[in-house]
Amino acid sequence: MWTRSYWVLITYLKRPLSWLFAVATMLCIFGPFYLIDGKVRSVDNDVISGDAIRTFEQLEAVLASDPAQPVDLDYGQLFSLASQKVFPVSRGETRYIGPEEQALIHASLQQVEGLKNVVAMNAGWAVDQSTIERIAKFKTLKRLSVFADLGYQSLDLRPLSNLVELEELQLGVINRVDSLKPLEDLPSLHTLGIGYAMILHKHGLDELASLPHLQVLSLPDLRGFPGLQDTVGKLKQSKTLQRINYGVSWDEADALAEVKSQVAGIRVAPSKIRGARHVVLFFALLAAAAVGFPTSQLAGQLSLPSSYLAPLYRAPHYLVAGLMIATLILGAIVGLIYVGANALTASSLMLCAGGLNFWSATRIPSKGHVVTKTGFVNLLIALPIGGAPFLVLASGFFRPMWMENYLMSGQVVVPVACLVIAAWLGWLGYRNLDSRLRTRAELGLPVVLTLNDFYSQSIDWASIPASAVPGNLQRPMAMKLPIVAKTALAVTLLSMPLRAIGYDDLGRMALMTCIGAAFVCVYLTGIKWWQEMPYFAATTTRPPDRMGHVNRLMQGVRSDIYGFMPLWLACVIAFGLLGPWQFDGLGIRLLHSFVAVASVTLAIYAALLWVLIIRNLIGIAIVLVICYVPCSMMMMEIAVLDRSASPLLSAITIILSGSAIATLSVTAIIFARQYYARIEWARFH
Amino acid sequence: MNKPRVRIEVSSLCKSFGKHTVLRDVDWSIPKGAVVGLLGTNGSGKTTLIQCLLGMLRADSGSVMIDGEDAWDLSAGAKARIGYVDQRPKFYPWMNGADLLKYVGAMYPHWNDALCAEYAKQWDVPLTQPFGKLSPGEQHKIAILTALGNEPDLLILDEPVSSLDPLARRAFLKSLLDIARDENRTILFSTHITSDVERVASHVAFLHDGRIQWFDELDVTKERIRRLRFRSKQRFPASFAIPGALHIQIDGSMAVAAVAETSDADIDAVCARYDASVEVEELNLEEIFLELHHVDA
Repeated sequence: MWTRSYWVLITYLKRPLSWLFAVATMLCIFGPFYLIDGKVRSVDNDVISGDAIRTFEQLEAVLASDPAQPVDLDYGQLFSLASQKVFPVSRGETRYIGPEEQALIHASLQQVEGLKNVVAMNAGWAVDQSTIERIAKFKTLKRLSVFADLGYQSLDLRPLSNLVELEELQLGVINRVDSLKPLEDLPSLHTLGIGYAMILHKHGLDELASLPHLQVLSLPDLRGFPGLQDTVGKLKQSKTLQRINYGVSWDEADALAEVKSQVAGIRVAPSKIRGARHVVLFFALLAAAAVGFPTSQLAGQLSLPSSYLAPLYRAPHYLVAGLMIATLILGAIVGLIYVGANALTASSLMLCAGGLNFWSATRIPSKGHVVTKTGFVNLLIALPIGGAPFLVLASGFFRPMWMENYLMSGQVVVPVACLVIAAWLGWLGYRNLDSRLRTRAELGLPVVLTLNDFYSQSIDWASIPASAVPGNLQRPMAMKLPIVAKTALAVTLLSMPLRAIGYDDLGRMALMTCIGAAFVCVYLTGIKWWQEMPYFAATTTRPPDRMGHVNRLMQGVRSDIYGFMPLWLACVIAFGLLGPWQFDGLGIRLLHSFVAVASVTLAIYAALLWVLIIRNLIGIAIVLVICYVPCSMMMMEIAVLDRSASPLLSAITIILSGSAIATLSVTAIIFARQYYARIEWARFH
Repeated sequence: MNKPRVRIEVSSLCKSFGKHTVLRDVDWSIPKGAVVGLLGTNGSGKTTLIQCLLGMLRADSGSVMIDGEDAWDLSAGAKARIGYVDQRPKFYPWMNGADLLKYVGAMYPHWNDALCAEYAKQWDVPLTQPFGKLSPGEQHKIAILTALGNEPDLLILDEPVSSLDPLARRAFLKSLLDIARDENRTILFSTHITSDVERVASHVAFLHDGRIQWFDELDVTKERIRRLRFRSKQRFPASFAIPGALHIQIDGSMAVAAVAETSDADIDAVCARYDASVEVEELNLEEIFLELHHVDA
């Protein structure tokens, strides 16, 4: 078995397209992450680099070698270490640090003043006036972050006017500042971050507008401070200000629009990251990217005459395709975690869903004590299992902060629980697997192949007709590809109308239900796909009969179009009632949903057709489109929000990008079918 | 004499592509141990028939049984005993011949590496070059090796020598003769080259107009399909007929008829009726092919 698998693996590793695909997949996954992350990242207080001085040992080493070398300094970390040194406390014990203790700690940090070229500094969480004065001595500072003050006294920022090279200043949870006026004397200051609205209470935004060189300003969410929010317009007086990073998430369109309307001409971007979106994006990309290439490769392998005639051909090809998908998923998870996306919880949820699927696919369905194979019972089980992970994600849009707390906070309870559940379900599925699979086969239920089956296939099944061999991984895989892709995309796209609709209006709730019904319809069409594509079965895949697959695929496409009909109708009705002119409201979102859902669906079908039929560079390119489309949808949404000051431009962006995809896809579908009809005939004549 | 056991049984096989009917009620039995040359014009449906025989193409109606198993639903054990060479071999273009043989060989429970190596040497197959960079003939040689490696009981070759040069063709046919020595091995190969069939085949089949027009042992075929030249003192009428005639050409007092399974008694009767003399000509396979397709030799 392993020899066979090795040679199948070679067909992946030695194929140049594999590597091209791997690079493209990584770009598709990580590119959007960086693009979106850069676009919506919260104001970054961490102005120092990873190799900053954080310990006394490092400090002493620099002082001993070359005090004039350019360094980043984590003064806050040194302050913590110094406080431990000066006032040792045992674990669990807390100690009050008052002004006197503070002075003693500062005195113990005297030696930092020996550094002659501090470029960036994190002043930490316990800043007082002494700290400010000490900071002012580092005239080479270019970037400075002051995260919090001690709150005993107002901070006087005047000493900072010595920092003539200071370019970026981040003021975190600072709540007592006499005035920001001294910042006017900083000739190089072009980036200022305000982390807490209290700092603005005294003078409002007037002082910020008068900063002579300010180009980028980060503001906190001002919605809880009506007085302040109303004065945002004063920033228009600034002659240099180019961009405002506003402390809301990019799906909070109303808040963004409010600020944008006040500061027309200045670019306003959301500065909060909505982590759950990353998770959805992660899912959508992963589903498409991880399944795309191995599936197309497998389709190519199964189109060779050997796939039917070589008796041990299929098992190693399935196994390796599965391993490739698992490797891609694992690689993507590790990579995303490495670059900062908290994908662990989402991954464990996915694994948990995988465990549920495995258990569901191997269990013997029963009603009471009676074994049954009724479709209804299976449907009842399949629906929540298939929809569960997506419903969890969808709930992220209802309660984004709740979801983020769980998905993005780095906590371990949910991942561990999911892993335990997945392991338990895996064990339940694996136990007595052979006998249960036999029973399922006797009942005529779909049966997955196990590793043991792979091993014993040639021996045990040598005298069994091919159609009696239980198990067919290709069919569920082929069925699940469009279902997973569609569902992930549907969830992604649901966010827009859901956010716009709100939860308190019954009429809007009805509309939401209508969209939800369409979502379920789309899931249910998977059954139609299953029925229409019996020859997708690996055991009966004959290379020259792919035209049959195409025709049946078209049946599936047709059923999906019917499934989408309620959503389309809802969009058309809502569009007619509310009009596209409400660009900051429901109209634009419904327009977006309509174009996006239609274009994405068509793109997926086009890709499926091409992958099935052509399996060459064009096919691979189309697979890449599948990966690209969800990203483009996300980009489009950002573009819409960024440009909501220009409704016309937003609408043009949406319609052009969506229409382009839809047009290309329809052309691809028509051409693919005609092309294959031609080569099918030419193959024999 | 024992009746030979049937290896492949085709009954009422029909296959159409859209409006184009390719196979019409094909009935055919191939005995075990036969080396069958399948002859037919371009587009006559040889490839379609072979694909149906192997269960790679779904017939519209009728059935194909291989060793008693439905060809559409062959067991793994039956598949392991089949070797097949496609008309246009399809393999990974970036894989070299040696790796391809190992890759395909890994998919069979039994694989004879030594046999492949021996034939590769005999046929001068370049095993170190990527498959895609080989000439069509060299690609075909590798495809044939992949079909022989599992030492199949049933070997089906779709125009295996069409891309080979005369030297390679001769070497391949010599090997095919060696392979065919095994009495349990059945070989079916389609071709246009009648001399190849004469060299190696024990049986010959002609596919014409969607049907197996003729199938029998090669020697019997040559015995039974003959050309008769009648000469008479009188003109032959337009209604001139002879039992078993495939094709009759009349030119005044001379008539030429290609006949199949016409008995000597029937010939004598015709001679007596028209007061004619007759010359019986043995035909080679190419002439038989032409006669069966009603083309003047």
